[in-house]
Amino acid sequence: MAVMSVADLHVRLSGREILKGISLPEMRAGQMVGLIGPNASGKSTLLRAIAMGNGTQGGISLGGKPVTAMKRAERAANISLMPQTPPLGSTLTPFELLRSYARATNLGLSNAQLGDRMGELLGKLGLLPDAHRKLNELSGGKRQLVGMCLAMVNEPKYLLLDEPTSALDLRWQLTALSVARNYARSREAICVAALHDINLALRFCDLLVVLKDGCVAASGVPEEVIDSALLADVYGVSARLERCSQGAPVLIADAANEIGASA
Amino acid sequence: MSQQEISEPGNAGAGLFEHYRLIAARRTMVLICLFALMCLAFLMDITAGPANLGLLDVLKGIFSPSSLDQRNYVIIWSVRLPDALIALAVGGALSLAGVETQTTLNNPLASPFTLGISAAATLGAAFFIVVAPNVGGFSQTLMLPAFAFSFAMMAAMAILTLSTLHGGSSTTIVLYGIALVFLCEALTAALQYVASAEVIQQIVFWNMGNLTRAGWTEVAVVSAVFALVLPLSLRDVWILTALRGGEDQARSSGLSVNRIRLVVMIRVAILSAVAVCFVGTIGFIGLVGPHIARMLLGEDHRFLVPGACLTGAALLSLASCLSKVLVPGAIVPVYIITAIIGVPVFLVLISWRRKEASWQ
Repeated sequence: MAVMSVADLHVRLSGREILKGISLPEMRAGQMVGLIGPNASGKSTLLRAIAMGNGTQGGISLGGKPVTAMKRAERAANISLMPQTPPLGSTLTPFELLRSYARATNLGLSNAQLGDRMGELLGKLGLLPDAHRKLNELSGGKRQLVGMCLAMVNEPKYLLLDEPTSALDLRWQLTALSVARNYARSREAICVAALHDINLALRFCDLLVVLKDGCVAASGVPEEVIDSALLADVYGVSARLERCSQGAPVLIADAANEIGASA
Repeated sequence: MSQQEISEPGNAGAGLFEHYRLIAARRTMVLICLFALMCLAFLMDITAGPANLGLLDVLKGIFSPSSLDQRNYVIIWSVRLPDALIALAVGGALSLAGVETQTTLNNPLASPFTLGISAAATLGAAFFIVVAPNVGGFSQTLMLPAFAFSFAMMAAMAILTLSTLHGGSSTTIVLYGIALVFLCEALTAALQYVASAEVIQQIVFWNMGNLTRAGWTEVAVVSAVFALVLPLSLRDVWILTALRGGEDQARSSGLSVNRIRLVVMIRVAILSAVAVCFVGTIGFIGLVGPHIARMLLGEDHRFLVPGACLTGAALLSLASCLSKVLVPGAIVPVYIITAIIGVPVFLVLISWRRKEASWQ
């Protein structure tokens, strides 16, 4: 059963403390968790700490077991991180790269089973027509979607996405996040996604964590967490949360505050 | 919210593999052609030489040695065959080492030589040639390769230790290697500076890779090492392919990048140290063999690794053949020939398959 808890997590990288003792509400199977915050607030560092235990002190446990006590193979079987940078534009095709990932992680599937899994994944992310094209001929957005396939092919219990929509157009932003959310729901997995677009986070996430300078500024149900005061404090902007005609919350950012104007 | 689901064509998985089978069949054909080319090069190589023996004579001599007179027996069994076989073994070994280095260090310029292994072997050989008179009592045929091999291994171990200690990225490893090349070259130059003209000539001659030094022992050692290492490389083809998606990607999915880098460096060190310690510097094969294979076969290492072995073996075999026929009555060191024939072949291929040649 996927359960993730983070308590008093410190991460130091090259002597600098990036995460300064953060604690998060318990994350449960089937949840989609959004990680938001300004640049350099520690979002990627948190995801990497969960995936690889880099420079961590205490703090993270998955299914009741501390991450630092897990062997590499055990971590690899349960956790996948999609990094910010898409796969290199080599002459490999998405099919070849995805297949080598599946085989290198010793999934033990037959070719037919693997073919089904890859076909489903590539189909959901609209990559089937490009499955046998070279990666260096694909757009940055498509390569980002390939990166998402790579993270998902071994069906991890903990799927971590670092800005999965940064290179995508509107349609694929929505598709990518709904694929991730459906994945979490249907496989009883936990998906944690670092996002810059707060509207996407409001729309897709069950739980939001707001980071600022390596500390948790707020966390909880999205609509309760996001308000003008928080946005002014964390991002230094004047913004408001309105309701759209269908009743969903929409964030409208009006202006960047003068530097030093907010607390 | 109603999210438009992307339609899933039925049987997508079966279709994916169906299409891939065509690609795989084409690549298998390319491998078969490369193998045929290598065999052709080998036949040309055993036929070429100052003694006027045609292909049929040589083949007859190989299959029924008893029919040969003493002179032809020596030519075929002590000169032609070992020289031609060591060309295949060294070419295959250097190219295999090259393809693995380029992939794990994610650098198209990497080869066993960028890592300083060859320069260290030369230093070892030079050290032995200069100091040998003072050691005395050892057979030169045994001790010279032994010195070259141990210096090459020491260089490889130094790089490995440095990169493990400092948690080196792939770029730092290449930088360590290049620093080591300069250090070894400087030390070799220093040895030459204090040596006599005659000794300098010996060092320079050793440094120019030359297949004619090889006998059956050398053939057996290089082939055995190659035959031991190749299956290990083939076992890692999936993770090597995965690495071409980027190191960060691979690490993020939990692939053991550090382990694969360590074992590849050990394999490369052994392969290239064994290859150069007997025949000297043959620089070009380890760099270009893999690139030619990549252009023809793509980067799926299940095809690329065997393909690189075949291109390396074929290239060195062709070079060895040319080294015997280019100047009538003389054998030009193969070191000189590899680049002279390799560069044009390489340039033609690059312009022909520009896209496959690019590296990002």
